[in-house]
Amino acid sequence: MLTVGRRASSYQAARMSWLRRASVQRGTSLVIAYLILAAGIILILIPLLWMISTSLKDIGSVFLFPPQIIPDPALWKNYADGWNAQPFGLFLRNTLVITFSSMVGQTFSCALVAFGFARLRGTGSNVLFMLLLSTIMLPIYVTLIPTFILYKYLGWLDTFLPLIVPSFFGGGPFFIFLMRQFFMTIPLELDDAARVDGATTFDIFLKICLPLAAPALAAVAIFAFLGSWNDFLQPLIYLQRTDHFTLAIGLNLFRAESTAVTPWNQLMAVSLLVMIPPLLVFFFAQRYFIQGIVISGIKG
Amino acid sequence: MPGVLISRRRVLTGFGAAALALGLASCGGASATTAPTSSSAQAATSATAPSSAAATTAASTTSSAAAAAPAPAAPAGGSAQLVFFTWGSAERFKIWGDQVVGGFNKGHPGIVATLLEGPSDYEPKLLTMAAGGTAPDVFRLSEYWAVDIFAKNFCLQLDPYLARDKFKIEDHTSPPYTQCQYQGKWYAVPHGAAGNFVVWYNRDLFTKAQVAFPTDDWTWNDFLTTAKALTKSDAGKPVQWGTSMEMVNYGVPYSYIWSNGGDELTPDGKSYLLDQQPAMQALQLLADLTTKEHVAPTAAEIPQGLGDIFLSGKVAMHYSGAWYEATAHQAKFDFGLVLNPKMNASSERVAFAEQNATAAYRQGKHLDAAWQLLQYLISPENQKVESSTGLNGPSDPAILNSPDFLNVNGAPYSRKAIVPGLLAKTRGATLIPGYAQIQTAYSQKLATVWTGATTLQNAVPQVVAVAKQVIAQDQQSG
Amino acid sequence: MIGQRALRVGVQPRTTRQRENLEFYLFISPWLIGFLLFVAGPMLATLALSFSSWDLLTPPKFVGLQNFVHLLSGDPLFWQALKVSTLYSGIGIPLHIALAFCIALLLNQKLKAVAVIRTLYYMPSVISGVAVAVLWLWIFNPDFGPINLALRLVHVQGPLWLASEFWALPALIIVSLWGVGSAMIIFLAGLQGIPTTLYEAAAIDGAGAWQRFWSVTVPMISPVLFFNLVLGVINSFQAFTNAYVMTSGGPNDATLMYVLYLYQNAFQFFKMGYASALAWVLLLIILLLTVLIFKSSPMWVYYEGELRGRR
Repeated sequence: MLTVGRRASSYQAARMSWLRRASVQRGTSLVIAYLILAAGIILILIPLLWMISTSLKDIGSVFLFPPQIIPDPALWKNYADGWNAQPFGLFLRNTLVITFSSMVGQTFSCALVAFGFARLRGTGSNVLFMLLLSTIMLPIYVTLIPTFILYKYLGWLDTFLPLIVPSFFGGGPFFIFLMRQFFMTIPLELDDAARVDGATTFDIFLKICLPLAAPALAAVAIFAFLGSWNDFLQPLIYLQRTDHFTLAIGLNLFRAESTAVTPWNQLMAVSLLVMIPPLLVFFFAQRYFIQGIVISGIKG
Repeated sequence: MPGVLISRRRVLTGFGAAALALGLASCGGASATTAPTSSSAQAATSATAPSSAAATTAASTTSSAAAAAPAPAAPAGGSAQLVFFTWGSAERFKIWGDQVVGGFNKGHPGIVATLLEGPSDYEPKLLTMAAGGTAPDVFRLSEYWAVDIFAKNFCLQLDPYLARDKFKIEDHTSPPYTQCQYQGKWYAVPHGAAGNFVVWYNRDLFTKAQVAFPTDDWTWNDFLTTAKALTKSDAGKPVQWGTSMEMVNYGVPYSYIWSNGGDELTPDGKSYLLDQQPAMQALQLLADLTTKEHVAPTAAEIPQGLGDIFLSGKVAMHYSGAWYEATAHQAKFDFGLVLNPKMNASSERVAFAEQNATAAYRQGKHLDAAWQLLQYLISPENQKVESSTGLNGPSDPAILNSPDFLNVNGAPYSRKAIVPGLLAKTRGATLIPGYAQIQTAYSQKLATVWTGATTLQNAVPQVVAVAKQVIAQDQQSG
Repeated sequence: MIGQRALRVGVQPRTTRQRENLEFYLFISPWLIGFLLFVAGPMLATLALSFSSWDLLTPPKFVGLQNFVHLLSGDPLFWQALKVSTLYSGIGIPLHIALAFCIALLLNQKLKAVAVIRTLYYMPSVISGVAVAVLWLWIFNPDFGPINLALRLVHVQGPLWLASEFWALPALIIVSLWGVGSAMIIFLAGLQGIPTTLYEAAAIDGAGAWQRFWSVTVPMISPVLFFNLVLGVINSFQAFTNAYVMTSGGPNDATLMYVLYLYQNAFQFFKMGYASALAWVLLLIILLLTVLIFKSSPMWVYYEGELRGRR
């Protein structure tokens, strides 16, 4: 792992020659990488291109076959029409409130819990961890109604509380499990060194493990945001009044009673608009996916 | 499979939109003219309508006499709050809220009704609210689901109210009432999707091929010949089909089975006869349209959920409900409508119709107010609102049988075939609790028959087995 | 701070072991409290419901083991649903993980516009709901969908896809592969955490690219691989939406996924008690598989910071 016992100069020389050889290899492998990725991108983009194409069509020509790839005329007004067809501005506001709150809650609380499972010994921790995982093994459709009844007794129906509060309590087994895995990749020597310096457990959590697990935290933030943003079932069941609805519900409301009268062009247009915030979150969260964390200050 | 995307709820937009002129024209006169015309219309409908209509009128008088709980008196003072739950789309909810619910509130000062917008996953939400004790006061029901709820005593039984207010549902609506009744008692009012399933045809394609338009007395042979004449291929690939027969859609086989003298679930709910000869023959003829005669596109050739094959001009005839008129109006060609063909010389032609229903929650807090909302929904006033805004077509026999409705100005077709009981007997599918399982088995097991992958002889017995189980369970629980 | 404050408050653990225990419980307390408040109750309720018959509209009736007996001996659709979900998971999970890993490897390099490319690969996971289902109905349309069109270009007659008993499930697997973006991100995060010094050291020791992959990348990524595998099992067996919207479980129950069957029982057949029994059977199956994966993990998962036999 660490270059124990190497003498500095021979190490440096070997490193330089390796880097030189590696740069040539990297050249060809880069080209291959680009080619494969490009092929993948095309496959991924085809459905998306059709979404864009549909969003610009006139409702009568949405499903003509053979289909028109580039609609003529391109109705950009579908975007405005679709957005105005329902109070999407209100839905956006609701969704932002719910999503940001639950993202913050989930990211912070899952790190705490995951650290406990990853780093601390406790009686029954294995059993508890299995219990944690088992909570996501039960299909939501059976827990839906008992949970609904629970929230009814708490008086939380038709509010955002059922969608936000549970996030602060661990934020979901998925994230806890993910962070646990990442914490377990951090060498214990770091902990020991820190303890020698007088750090408490919480210090270790906050100052050592958390920064080192930054890519994982970024991933959790992205997923937490997206999960809440696109969540349809829970808002559907817990929210009643139209002015509490979220974007996901709003999109679903485009679906009229029969496919022939559903405004697919508007639905696709607004679906594309709704995709933008999570993509932005992802795009900007990527800076935390930094290459090669250098572990400094460790002696061999 | 398209079953879910082509949602099970019926839209009567065009039906209603086309009745706009009628609604506006007969504004003031409707109530005055309803009395004499409705009784004659009712006589006409009950004469041609199947036993169910007669049975229900008889049953409701006897049951109201033996009503267990007397209808409560109207509440004194205060305002009753009601929640009205329905599915819909953004546009429609505006109409439901402003015009239907709003109209009701205006005319009923002691009651405040509010609209609760339901998602396309309507039943889970309704059931969740019911299980959680927050059920809406008045809610709509669609297709074969209603009877299950009635059987579980979830809905307010209406006979006491009908007796107290001397109100007859049949006066304002058309049959069939299969989704409003259970064991002879009324649990809901019919509301939405009134009218027969008919054959919609593309007049332009007929004209171009110089084929005579279908007439209401046509037979299966006429139908098949017409379909063949209108099927065209280009270099071996079909470019136009004579008809579409979307067997995967709920409601399609019934009228053909009945018109052939067969049945699936008998009206007494005790036998399932899909594997008997008349029903099998009808199903086979329908399946042959795609697999043998090739006059109809297969399930794979129909762009399931991706648009309408009739609108695209690729099929000359299309069998669908009365609510399809809205879609047909979007077509760039002239269309007409006609009854389903008579299957053979000896049996009677029967048309299939299904009406959605609206019911009240039995344990609601304001039952009398809920009843008033139900009454309002089927009142001539509200039917006019719903049909003029395209929400639902009218169900009132007086309106349906009026010349204004039947002969649409300028349209090259009459709506006679749609009116229940006018040109032929109209029947609804028999429903028993658990019917959803039979229907699911039917659509799953027969899906591969329609693609030609297997035969009816293989698939139907499996459906019958499920049906027998469901019937047995129903008989047990009584 | 938490541990210290606890000490000050007056909880005086006598041994380090007890202190560790306390700290452990303090750290996991958010989850534990949340579990007791919001999760345990409903879960136990569904367990109770699995021994009852409930139509959601009338009070539940206790029926003992009847649901489970029917499930095991009288319900061919249960076995069909189990078979469909097992096939879907058995084929889908390895494909999904392999694909996500390969793409993550490719995107772990300093390519130009790598952030944009990663976003593109992640995009499919971001589209939700109705739009996706319709998209795929079009893609798989036997007549004019792009897949069969492409096959026609190479003179291959495309299958009926969603209308075919044989091809419907593969079609759904393909749809699930379109969403590899999520698993890919997790692999990426894991790859980022591998110190480059390791690669350099290995190279200096004379390891070629392939060897470096197997002796550095794979072991270091194994915790993430483990994660994706376990999550894959948990999620794949509960796949529902695509089957619900695109095929309704057909044709002829070929895509009747387990949770779809459960949903039908709960909300269409008025058999919530039976659905709860189905749910608990599923939980037991998934739990069993998960425990097996966990038990096997010492053999192939390597953690740098694992508490194994320490202290």
